[in-house]
This record gives sequence, structure tokens and C-alpha cells, in this order.
Amino acid sequence: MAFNLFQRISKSPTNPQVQPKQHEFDVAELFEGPISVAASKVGDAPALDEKLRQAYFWIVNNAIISSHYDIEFNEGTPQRFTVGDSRSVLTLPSAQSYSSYVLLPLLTFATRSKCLFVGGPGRGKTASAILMGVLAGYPVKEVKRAMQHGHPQMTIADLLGNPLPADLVGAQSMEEIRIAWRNWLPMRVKIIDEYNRIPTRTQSALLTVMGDNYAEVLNHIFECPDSAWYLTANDDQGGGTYQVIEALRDRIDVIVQALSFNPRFLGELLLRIESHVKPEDIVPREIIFSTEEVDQMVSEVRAIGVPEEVRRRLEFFCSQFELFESAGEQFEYKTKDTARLSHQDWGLIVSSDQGRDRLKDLGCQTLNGLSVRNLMTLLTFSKALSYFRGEGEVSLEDVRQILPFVLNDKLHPDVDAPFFALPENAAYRVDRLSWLRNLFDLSNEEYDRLDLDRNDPVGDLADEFAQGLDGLAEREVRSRLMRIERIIGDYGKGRKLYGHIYDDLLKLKYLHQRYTNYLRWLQSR
Amino acid sequence: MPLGEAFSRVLAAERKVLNARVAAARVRAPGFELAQFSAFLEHCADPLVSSIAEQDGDAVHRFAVELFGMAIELATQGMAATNVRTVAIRRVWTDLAPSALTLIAADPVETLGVLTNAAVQLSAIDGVRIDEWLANMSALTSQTRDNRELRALVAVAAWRAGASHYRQSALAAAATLPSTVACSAVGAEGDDWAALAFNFARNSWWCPDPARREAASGFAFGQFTGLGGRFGQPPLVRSSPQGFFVLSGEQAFLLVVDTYGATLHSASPEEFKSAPSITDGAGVSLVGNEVVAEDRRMELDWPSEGLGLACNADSIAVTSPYSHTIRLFPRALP
Repeated sequence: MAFNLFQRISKSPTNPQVQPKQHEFDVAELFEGPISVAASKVGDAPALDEKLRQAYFWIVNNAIISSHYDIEFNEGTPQRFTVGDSRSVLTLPSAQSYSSYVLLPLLTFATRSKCLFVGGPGRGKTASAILMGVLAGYPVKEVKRAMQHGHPQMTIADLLGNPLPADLVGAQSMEEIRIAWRNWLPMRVKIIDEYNRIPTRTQSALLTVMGDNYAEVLNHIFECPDSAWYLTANDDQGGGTYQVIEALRDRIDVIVQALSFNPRFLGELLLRIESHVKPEDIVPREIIFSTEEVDQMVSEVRAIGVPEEVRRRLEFFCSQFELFESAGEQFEYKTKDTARLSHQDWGLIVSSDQGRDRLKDLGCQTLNGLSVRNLMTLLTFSKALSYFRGEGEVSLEDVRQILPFVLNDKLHPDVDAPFFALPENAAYRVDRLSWLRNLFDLSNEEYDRLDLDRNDPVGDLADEFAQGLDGLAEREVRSRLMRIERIIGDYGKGRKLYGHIYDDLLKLKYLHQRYTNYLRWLQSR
Repeated sequence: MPLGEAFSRVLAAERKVLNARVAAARVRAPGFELAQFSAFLEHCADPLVSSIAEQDGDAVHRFAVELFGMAIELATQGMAATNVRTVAIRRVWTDLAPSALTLIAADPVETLGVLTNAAVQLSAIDGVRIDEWLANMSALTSQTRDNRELRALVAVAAWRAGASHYRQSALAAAATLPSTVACSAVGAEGDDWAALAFNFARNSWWCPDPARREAASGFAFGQFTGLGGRFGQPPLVRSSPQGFFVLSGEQAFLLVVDTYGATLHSASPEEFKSAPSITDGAGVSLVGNEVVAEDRRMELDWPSEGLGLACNADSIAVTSPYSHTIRLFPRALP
């Protein structure tokens, strides 16, 4: 039996809700006590979100010695204290808050996504990744043996597998060459340690596995199952042996930083040394997930709803960043992508971008906009956080808390922008997570100022269009076209072009085009 | 007394790991008493390890290590000590476990752990007859084929030993057992579990066990706090579908009663206040100091003044301002 002192998982609900009191007596109570035993029967197994929370709390209480509660939730106003000359704010959250270093890998596990651990050596990045493998039911030894360690001599064959030497000599065609695939490929949890030490050519092979879920050697294909990926890097900002190819970086869904060890927890560290017990060796079986359970969890996460009011604010936030007015002549090409692809001097193009308040415009704080992949990841992880918290639908705070971890290394700051020149914003040049969260807050403030929850004519038109064109009379179509033109005209009256207006205008153009085509069809009948 | 050879051999082989575990436990639980832990290993774990060594030498190593781990768990919670609180645990390990040794050897945590936990839980319930539970379990474990059956038997034996609040849950567990085993579990012969289940459902005071027939005509429950009971003042009773709500001073309880006994659980004064005196029809009354039921009259040894009566589908409860006990009767004789 493993050392059960560390094997205790939370027996009380990890996220309790107030329930009316009922006198219910179950003999299963008899089996709970000083000795940790399995749940009394299959039907007693906790819901998967509860099991996920149990896993989180077990890791926080037993595996990670020094936890930082940096994902803060509040019920009511939290207590805030200012300390130091810089008036640093310490917040005491009033609701259950979480450690990103534990939570994000777990959400990656629950959504079978890809997580990158960054941070200095010896901070437990690899150990955390191994724990995730153990949660998926693999023996510790198997997880460790399957872990791929990046090194400068790593070849594609090292990563994916070898052709059998005998076949190489005797085969008359490529089909006859059998491949000895590496053991890690079929695993549901894949760990790549120090991925930024892998040579560029091998990174490309890794990209195929990460992005398309298959491996290819000598025209032979190995189809991999959907997996959770954990990659580690001592320094993701170029400190590895090789520059990580951008496509590979872009496949990573969330980045988690291993924060520093608080020496106040040295006693716990001492205990770890004295007891000679490694957390991955004593993971309680109650928090180990079967493949079927993870499949079900992925489905349950997907089923979490995103209310329209949350979705609209997210749309508004995302629309801030792509516009680059001076980057293109044609309206559709006034984007940062156009500027980037031109390889022109960024500062030069920025200097010609005039007419807007560059301090107020959130789009001026970034060098790029958001990709579809980024948005999908953001929605998936928002759902996962909501699921983890036992909620039925995503809240704005879920999005606010998860957003920095998803967009870190995706939305790049333009540190030469006026915003970063203000003394009060100097920290945002370094602290990307806080900058991203602040960016979302500023976007929400603007959303509220514009009163878009109640006054959103473009949203109204989009809703109207979403009801379909079937049976729509010519007169009504003409009326809608006129409304679209009127709104576009209003936008043009002396208002400056900001990202959200740019996207609204493109949406209006889209609607106008659809109605125009429909009108032509009506007239041709 | 030194440890047996088998246990000593395992401890020597695993010395480094096991010492580390104990060291970690001592840091985690400052109340960890090494002497008590050692005594527990010697008196409770060692005889089991020796027995296993005789039965199956190959299994002894894993068995001993798992028992050692369980002993650590108990010691960290102060349950390896020798006192009134832990006597049931020791009896499980010394008296009950040898009768289920084959089952325990297969999976010590899931069997001995379950039995230990159940003993701890039952010891904490007023009114449960722990000796009776141990005796019933000792008689039944030889019929047990696996852990699932063991858990069902633990539940049924607990109910029969006075944990009446587990009645429905235990009946459901018994229904999952083979009919012969289920019948034995409730003290009946034969294999007609369906007939037994019908009778249990018909009247909660019915039981097939001749030893309990006397109790099935009624019994007294409760005691003054000064004498070790839970009632600071003479209790009042009101009816509930699950039993009776009881109010003693400002404290309210739920009293669950059936033929095997009665157990008391926390409730709120509001629940008491909102409960009726009688549910499921009348037909029961107090005349002087006699309780009049549909099929009989029962004379009380209390003055007639201030008597309180409550009645539910199966049971009658009577209280007196002169007593800290509650008299409980079947509404109809089983």
C-alpha cells in the first residue's frame, strides 16, 4: 500500500453549494473512516468535475509544496492591502481561488489540449507533467520512459521511430519496411521535456504529431489518439538551444509559469526529503482517470454554455486588435497581418497611423491580432474553468481569469506604444499576464461605456439575419439594406475608426452583401 | 513480546522505506505516539501477519507492508492507542479479522480497512451494540466471497446491531447478496429472501430473529445527560415519516426506531415545531396512564399527568415530564 498519509483526497465537497437539509442515511458512511478505502460501489463515484477538483486539491495539498493562488475569484469585495514604496496590492480573495500552476495543467488534461510549463530549472515543471501522466492511469515508470527529452542531437528517428534494419536491407519497396514506432506515440498524455532544445528539423516532425495527430516515417503513418500534451522549457523566450518554430509555439494552448519557491515552506520540503516519498508514486487511485472518463469529461466541458452577454464582450475584446488603419488601402486589408506580411519597418508604418487616440485605443498596445485557433482555445479553456468550478455556463470572470494564460505568447505587446510609456504601466512591459488581464478589463470598461449590452444595432441586425432569409419579402429586404447603409453612414460621421468599429463595418458589409444577393435572387424568379 | 519472524523479516527488508514513512507521519501528526504504534503492530498486526505466513508465504510481504501502512494511518489519528474509543478497532483486528483471513489476504485495505472503518463509525453511534455486530460479522465472514459482499454484510450486521437509521440502505444491500447469505445475514434460515423482504417492508418491528422478539414489543430509549444520555430535560416527541422529532430543552433530534433499536441524530428545533404529533391516521390514544393501540393496551409505570404521545406509520413514542426516557412501541404487534 502506498503511503496513505499523503493519499487523502478531499472527502467533503470541494466546491460546496448550500443545500436544504435532508435526513438521509447511507450505509456507505460506514466505510468512511481512518483507513482510506475505495468508494463503496460504482454508483458512488463522484461526478467527473468533482473528481477533477479532488485531483486539484490533492495536488495542491500534497504534491506542490508552495502554492500561489493567482487565479482569484471573489464573492463580494475582497480585502486589498497596499505594501511597499510602489504601493503593490495584495488581494485576499473572498471566494475559492486557484493556483494556475496546478489548475491549468489539469484543465489541459480535461480538454486534451497542450500546455507549456516555463520557468527556471528545478521548479517542478517536469514533475508536474509526470503527475498528469499518472492521473491518466499510466504507471510512473511508463510515464518517465515515454517522456521525450529534447536535446541538440535529437533526430526524427529518435522522436518517432526507426525502420527495422533487416527490412531496410531486404525490402523491395517502401511498404515492406516496417517501422518500430516509439512507445510514447499511442499514449494519452505526451510529455516533451525541454522542447526548445530540439533541433529545428525534428521540431517539424513534432509539429505534425502535435498539430495533426499522426507521425510519418518512410511513408508509413502512425495515427495517434487525442492526447493531453505537456511541454517544458527553461526559457520560452529564446533561451533554448534552438529557436522554436512559430507554428509549434502557436500549437501550444496555454503557458504556465512555474513560480518561485517560498522559503517559508522549507519545513514541507524537509519532510519531503526525510520521508523519501515522491508525489507521483502515491497518487490516490480515486483521482486517476480512465480513458473513458477523460472522453466523457471532454464532452462535458464542450457542453458548458457560453451566454450571449459573455460572448459579446469577448467579441468586443477580440475586435480591438486587428485593425491597422495605415496598413492597407482596401478596407479589408487594413490589418496588422497586412503590415507584418509586408516586412516593412513596423515603426515607420505606425508613425503614419494617425487620427486615433493611441493611448486610448487598445489595439495600439499589440503587434498582432488574434487567430481563430486562439479564440477556440480561449473558449475551450473558459468552458473548462467553468466546468471545474461546478458551474453550468461560462461567466465573465471565468474568461477574465483564463484569458492571460491562453493569450500569453499569442498577443504580443508593442512595448513602444504610448500606453507602456506611462510610469503606472511600466510593470506591464514585463508582466504579460497582468497586462492581458488589464487589457480585458479596459475592453470591458469601454463596452460598458458604449452601453453595448442595450444598444448594439449591428448585433440586432445580425440576430435578425440569423433568423434566416426564407420567405423574406423584397420590401423587408430593401428596408434592411437601408438600415445597414444608414448605420454605416452614422459610423462615418466624424467618428474615428477603432478596432471594434472596423469589425462592425465588415460585418455590416457582409450582411449587406448577403441581402443584396438574396434581393437579386428574388428579382430573378 | 518480540514480533514474529515473518513480520520481522518484512520490516527488516523494507526498513528504509517504512522508517521514512513513520518519520513523515510523525512530522505530519505531532500526536503520533511511537510506543502506541509499536504496541499496535505487536498486538494487532503481527498475529495476522504470522497467520498469513503460515497460509501463503508469497503473500506475506505485501500483506505486512499494507498492514503497516494502515497502522500508520490509525496512529496518525490517535487510533492506535489502547482506550475505550479504540477498543472496537482492536477487536476487529484481533477477534474478527482471523475469521476472514483469506479475504483479507487478497486485499487488506479493502477488507480490513472497511471493517476497521465500520467499527469506528459504529462505536460512535449511541445505541449500537458493537459486541453484537462483531459476533454477527464473525459468523458471517466465512460465507463472504468478495469485498462487495463483505460491505453488504457489514451494513446488514450494523443495522441488526442497532443502527436502525441504516434500515433501508441495509435492506437494499442485503438484496444484492445471494439469497441464502442474505437470509443468514438477518438471522433467518433458508433462502426465501423475498418473503423476508416482504415482512420487513410490512412492519419495521418485524424480525425473523427469535432473540429479538422481546424487544419487538417495545423498549425505552434515552437517558439524562448527567447519567451519560443525550437529554438535558425530559424530552417531547413529534411524528416524522422517518421516526420522531425529539425536543429536549433547546436541542432537537431525529429519533429513528425499528425492531433492532433506535438511533438519535441532530435536527433543528424548527423541524420539531413544524412536525405533527400523529401521522398516517389516528387509532392510538392515551387513556390515563395507558397507551391504547388498535390491537392492545399498554400500561405505563408513569403518572398520567403530562404524558406526551406521538405516532407514525409503524411506531408509537410516549414521553413523561417525570422521565428523561422515551418509551417506544410498535403500533401493531408484528
